[in-house]
Amino acid sequence: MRTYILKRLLMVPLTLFGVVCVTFFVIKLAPGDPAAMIVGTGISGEIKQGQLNKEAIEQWRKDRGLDKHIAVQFGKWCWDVARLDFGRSFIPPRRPCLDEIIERLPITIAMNLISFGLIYLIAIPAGIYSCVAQYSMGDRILTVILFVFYSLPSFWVATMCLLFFCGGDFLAWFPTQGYTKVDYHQVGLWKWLTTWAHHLFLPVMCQTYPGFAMLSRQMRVGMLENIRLDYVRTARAKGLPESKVILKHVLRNSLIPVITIFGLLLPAMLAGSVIIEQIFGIPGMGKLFFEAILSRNYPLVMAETVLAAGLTLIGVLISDLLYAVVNPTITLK
Amino acid sequence: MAETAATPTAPAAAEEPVAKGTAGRSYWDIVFTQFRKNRLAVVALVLILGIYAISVFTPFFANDRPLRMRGSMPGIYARMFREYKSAAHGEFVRMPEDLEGARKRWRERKVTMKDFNRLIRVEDWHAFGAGIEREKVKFLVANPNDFKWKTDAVEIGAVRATLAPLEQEALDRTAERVVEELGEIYRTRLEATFGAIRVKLQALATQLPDSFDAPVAAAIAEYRAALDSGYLEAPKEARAPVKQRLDGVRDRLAADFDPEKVALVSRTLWPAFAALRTIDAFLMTASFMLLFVVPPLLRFTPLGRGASREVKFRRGLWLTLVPVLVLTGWRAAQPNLFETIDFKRSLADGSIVTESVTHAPIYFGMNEQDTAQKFQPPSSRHWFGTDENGRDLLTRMMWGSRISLSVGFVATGIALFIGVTVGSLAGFYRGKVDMVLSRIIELVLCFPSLFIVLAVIAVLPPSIYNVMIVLGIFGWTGIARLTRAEFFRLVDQDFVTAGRALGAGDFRLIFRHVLPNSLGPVLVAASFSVASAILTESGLSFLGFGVTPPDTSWGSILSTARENPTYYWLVMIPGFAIFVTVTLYNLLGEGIRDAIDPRMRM
Repeated sequence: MRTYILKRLLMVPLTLFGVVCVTFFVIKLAPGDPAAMIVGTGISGEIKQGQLNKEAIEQWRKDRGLDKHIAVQFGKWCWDVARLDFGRSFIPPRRPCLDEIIERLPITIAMNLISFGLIYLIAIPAGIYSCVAQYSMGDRILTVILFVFYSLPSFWVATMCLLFFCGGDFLAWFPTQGYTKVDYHQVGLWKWLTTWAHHLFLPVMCQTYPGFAMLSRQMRVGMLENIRLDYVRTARAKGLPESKVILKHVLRNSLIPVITIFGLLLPAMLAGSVIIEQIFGIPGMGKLFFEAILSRNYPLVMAETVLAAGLTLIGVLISDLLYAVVNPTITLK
Repeated sequence: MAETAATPTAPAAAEEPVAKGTAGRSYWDIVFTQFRKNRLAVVALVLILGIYAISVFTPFFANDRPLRMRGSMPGIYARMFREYKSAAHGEFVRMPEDLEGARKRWRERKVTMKDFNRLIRVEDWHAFGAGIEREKVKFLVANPNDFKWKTDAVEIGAVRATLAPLEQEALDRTAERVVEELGEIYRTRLEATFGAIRVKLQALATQLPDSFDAPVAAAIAEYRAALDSGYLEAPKEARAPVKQRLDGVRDRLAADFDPEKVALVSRTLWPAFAALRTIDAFLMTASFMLLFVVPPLLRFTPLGRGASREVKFRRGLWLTLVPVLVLTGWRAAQPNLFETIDFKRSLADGSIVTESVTHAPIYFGMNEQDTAQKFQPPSSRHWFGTDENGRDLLTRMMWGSRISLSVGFVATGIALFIGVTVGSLAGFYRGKVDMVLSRIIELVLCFPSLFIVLAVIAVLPPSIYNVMIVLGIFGWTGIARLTRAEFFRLVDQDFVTAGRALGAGDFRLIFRHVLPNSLGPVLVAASFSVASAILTESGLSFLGFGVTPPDTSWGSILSTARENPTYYWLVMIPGFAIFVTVTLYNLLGEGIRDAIDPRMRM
């Protein structure tokens, strides 16, 4: 057990280094010159390849250290990342990337945490219900709904919500923008909470349902697989009440895959936040990433990619460790 | 249903009666029988095939070009004639004079800034660009109401006068070099004009009786001869007779081909077919054979009766491959379509007169705009309504499906290739190879899919092919992991050992023995992967990173709807199409999974 955890932890820096490498080379080696794209307006005002003002571009490159050999740049990038310095944004006022990200991180993390909470809160009881009442009407309906949720594109759902619930020609239940600045000290706790809930309801819902569908289906399979096994029959035979059989024996064993899926949910939800935050205008990490991509702000793109991958790595690690903790029968090499 | 068996295949095989006339039941026979029991998955498969058929044959279902027409095109004939007589011929004949004039203008520095910029190189610009920028700034300061320096109103001579002596020298060097190069530039231009003349004359001839072919060929030969005779650079005296002869050709043609006098013949045209590309020919033939010809042939004729699945598979492959290769080759050998006639408008305004014409059932073009019909809700005329440019949404959905669906296919194809290779290597060799490859898989798995895909797409030139490739390159991990797990399970089994004992090499063991037995789970993963690729592509297009106009996909239709969110049909229809397709693929994937391993049934 201890060696497993140690091994797992030792792998983390290696994988992180891989992440840093891949991010760097994917951005650097791809064709297309950011300098030419950002500076590159032609002589007569129109953008034209081959008519660019080379000196301005060279100067721009020099300012951002892009004139050096790629190996030197790579070394500097690795060293900087090791010190948690992701460089400065390309776009004036050229703030450090990390500052920009940290400014935007809380809202994304908060939304993801709420989503995670909701997912687990609903999915586990739903799984139990499906198992207890297998093939009942409710179970069938639940299965269909989950399946529909599973294939429903979240950006479409979000757009539909905007269309039908946020003013326009239809209902006006929610604001179109999912974010607002409310001063906690001015309005008091209750008002603060309700305003937030009002604004974040739709985006959080749109972020929650795909993960919920994924998890519940997993949960249902796990429960149904376990309830057929011999130990359940034994538990029943020795006279345990059904509630205890289900909640204590079956549930605990079928929780294992549900916990491990945590590692897969995290990247999916981070990726989803790019679109959801864009649609609802929430100034989080996803929106920042998208804006960085639109303005070809490569340091910011690289910083966010590394951070997102790092977060995912941590998620996978946690779920791996949990796996080892929850399931003592597994002998880990 | 769920509680069938403990081992995946054996009891299922026992339940089924042994199929007649075959040499025992293979693994795939059993899987196939199991799959057919799952109604929902079969329906999904049929629907997917239907959607593919519609999207592949869209040019015949929704098109503003007629499928077939018999008639003549007097309006278009007259236009072509006019273009030849007064534009193309004149340009050809005048080109040498133009060259002389241009040389003179460049020598005297009377060329405009715009023409100047067009012909110089970046390196030239370095030597004197700063001076010209200065001049530009001066102008902008002096004329605060003009936002742009009108480069076509400024002569380079005037700018040159304001430059520093060194800059003037550099500019002069550049100008002299361009004077040298002008001959080459004009030669290319003359070549292009000749091409235009040839296309126009040939287009005229196609509308006339065959007796007109000879004079057209003769005329083209005359132009060709003039072009080859060094006409462009010849002195004025030497040029005069050539010019005279060409003018004579023009006059003769003008007299013979005059739209007022000639009687146009009716010809049968296949405009929709003519606009197909080689890849269309390939896909259409392949789908037609696979969907409508090969299955009935194998089922109802002696071709397939009594044959085992493998034999049937091989015969079906040949039956498909031969016509596909023949027809695709035939299409590829034909010249590309030059004609850009707007058939719909020409038919409406009488430029084309038809005896009979067959239209596509949905008589709208993908990019046929109608500003009077903007944002029309669904109606009997436009079943799915229209978009912001008055384009028919049903037509655009059908043409867009070609992109959306092929993205899923191609991306999954790439992912399958990488995933199966990596997975089989890791699973077959284990040990160190597996260690390294598993770390790579974990590494790729770390990147949230949309993050890395967006980052790469953003630095690549915008193209749907790049989207397909990037989706494939970052989407193979699931397939690799499954393949690896299957290999782990299979490599120790007796049939592999037997193969090895018979002297089979690693390559043969992997591809002929283990891989065919591990394809089931891979197929399931591939099916889900198609769904997720379609989903990701539509997300990318939705964010504006997918197809480039004039092409379209479901996601990009949805993204235009985001700017006009009150028009509900623009939001609901493309989104619903994506949803249905993704659902069908997920159903199919689940169906295959259940057929392979009944224990996993949900």
